[in-house]
Amino acid sequence: VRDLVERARRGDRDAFTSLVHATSDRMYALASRILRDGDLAEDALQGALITAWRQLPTLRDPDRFEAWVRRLLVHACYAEARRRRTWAANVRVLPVDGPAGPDELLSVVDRDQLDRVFRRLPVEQRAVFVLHHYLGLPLTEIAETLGIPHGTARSRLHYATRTLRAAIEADAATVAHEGRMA
Amino acid sequence: MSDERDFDRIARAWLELGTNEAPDRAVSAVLQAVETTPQVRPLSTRLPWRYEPVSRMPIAAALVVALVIVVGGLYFMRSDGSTNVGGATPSASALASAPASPALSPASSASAALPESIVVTPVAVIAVPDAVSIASDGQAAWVLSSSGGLVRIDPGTNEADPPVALDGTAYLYTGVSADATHVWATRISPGLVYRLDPTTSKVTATIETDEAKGVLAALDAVWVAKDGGTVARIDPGTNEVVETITVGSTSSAPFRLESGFESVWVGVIGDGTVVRIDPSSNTTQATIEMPPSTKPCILLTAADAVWNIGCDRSTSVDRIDPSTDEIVGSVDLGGFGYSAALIDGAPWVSVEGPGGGGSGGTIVRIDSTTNQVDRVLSPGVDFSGYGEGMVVAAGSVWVVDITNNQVLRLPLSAFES
Repeated sequence: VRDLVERARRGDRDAFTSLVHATSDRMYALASRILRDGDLAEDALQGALITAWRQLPTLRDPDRFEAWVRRLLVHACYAEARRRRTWAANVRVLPVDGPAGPDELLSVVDRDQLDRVFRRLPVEQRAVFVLHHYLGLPLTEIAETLGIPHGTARSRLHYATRTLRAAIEADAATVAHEGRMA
Repeated sequence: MSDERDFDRIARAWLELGTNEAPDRAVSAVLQAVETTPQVRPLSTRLPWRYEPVSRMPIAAALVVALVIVVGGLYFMRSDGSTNVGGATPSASALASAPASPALSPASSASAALPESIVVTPVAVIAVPDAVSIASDGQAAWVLSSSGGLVRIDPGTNEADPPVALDGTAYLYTGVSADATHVWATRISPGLVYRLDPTTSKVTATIETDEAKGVLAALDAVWVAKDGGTVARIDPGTNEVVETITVGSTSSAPFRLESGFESVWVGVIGDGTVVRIDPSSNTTQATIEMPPSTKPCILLTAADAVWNIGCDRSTSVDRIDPSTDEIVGSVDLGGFGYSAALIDGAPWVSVEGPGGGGSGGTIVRIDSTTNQVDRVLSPGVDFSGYGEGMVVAAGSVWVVDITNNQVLRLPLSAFES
C-alpha cells in the first residue's frame, strides 16, 4: 500500500485507482453505518475519495493513508448528514439492507428502536460510536483519527451510548409491561 | 438490559447488519472524476525552481514577458467588453426594466461556458460552528447554528456575540428569518418556533409547531414550512398558529419560503413542486411542477421572476414567471447551487466547489435578460459554496459556508454592476 500511496501522491492515477479498489468497500461500510442511508453513504464515499485524490500530495506520512482517508470520510459524513436536514428530520426509519443479524442478540424491535434513536443522534456522536463499536478502535485512536481531544471522543461515546441504552431499556420495559397486561 | 457487556454485544450485532460493498457506480464515479481533477500541490513541490540556482537574466526576461501579457490582456478585456471587469454588465435599472425572459420558450435551458471568476477578498471571515442559515434585522446578521444556537454578528466589529442557546438538540434547527423587530428560528423535532428580540437577544416566545423547518416573516404574518406537507401561518400579534395550509403530501418535506408578488412561495422537495400561497385567503394559488433535475428547495423572488434554486445537488435553477405561474427558463450554474440573494437587483447564487471538499466555491450572478450566468466571484479564501443563506446587511454581503463552519462578509461593491 505504501508504494501505491507514494505513486498516487506523485500523480499516478493508476496507483490511486488501486487504492480506491482496496479501500472503497471498507469506507462505504463505515459511511453507511454512520449515516444509515445508502445514498448518502455513496455521496460521502465519493466526496471523501475525490478529496483524497486532490489532497494526497499533502499527506506527509504514507503509512497514515488509511487513517487519513478515514478522517476525510467521517468529515464527508458530517457534510452529508447536514445535507439530509434539507429533506427531513432524520426521524424516519428506513429498512436495513443486507443479511439478517444474529437474532438471538437482536430482536426486530431492538433493531428498529436502535435505528430510530441512532438517526437522531448528532452525527459526531454517531461517528465515534461506529468507529468504536464497529471498527473496534480505542478512544485514543478515534481522537487521533478525528483530530479531536480524547475527552471529546470519550464524551461523544458516552452520550451516544447513554441515549441508545436508554432507548433499548425503555423498549424492554414496554415489552415487559405489555406482557403483564396480556 | 443486564450490563454494559450486553449492550456492547447488541450494539456490535446491530452494526454488523448492513451492506459492506461499495456500489460499482460510486467507485466508477470517483475514478471518472479523478481523471479530470488536478491534485493540490504543496508550495514546496509546486515551485522546486525556487531552490535551484538560476541566473538573473532569464528571470528578468520572464518578468518583462509576463508584464506585457498582463497589460495586453487587460487592454483586450476592456476594449472587447466580453468580461465583467469594468462594468460591462447590464445595470440594475436595465435588469428591472427588461421584459420577463425575452425570446425564451417555456422551459428552455440556457447553458454556456461560465465567465472567468473574479477574486474577491472578504472583509471578514467569522467562525460560526455548525452555521446553517442567516438573516438580517436590518442592522446585524443573525446566523442559525444547526446545533441549537442563534449567533448575532456585530457588523461594527465582525465579532460573533455569544450564541443564544435555543435548546441544544443538535442538527434539528433549520430556519431563521428576521425583520427590524423580531428574529424567528425553527426547530424541527420537537417542533418549535422561537421568537427573539434582536435588541436584547432574548427569547420572548416559543410557539409549538410540529416539524417546523423554513420560516419567513412577511406579509404581516410568520409562515412556517412543516415537514409533513403544510405551511403554518402564525399571527405575530398573538404568537398563535391561525391557519394551516396543505401544500403537499405528508412526506413532501416543504422547506424554504419566500415572499413576492403578493404571495408566499414554498419549495416542496418531496413532491417536486413550488407552491404559491395567497395570504389573503390562506389558500394555494398555484402548484408548479419542477423538472426532475431541480428539486425545489431555496427560492428567490426578483423584480420579474421567482427563481427555484435546487439546493439538493441540483446544478441548475429554474425561472418561474409569476404572471403565468409557469417555468420559462433554466440556468446552468456549473455546479450545485445553494444560498441565494437578490443583490443590486440581480439574483446571486452560491455554487459548491468541485468535489464538495470545502474550497473552490463561487458566487454567481444570473443575468435575467439572457438567463445565463454573467459574473462569477471567487472569495479569496477557502469557501465551499455550500450553505443555506446569503443576505445583504450593513453595506456587505454575508454568506454562510456550512462545510467550513464560517460566515464570509464580502464587500457589496464587488456585487454591484
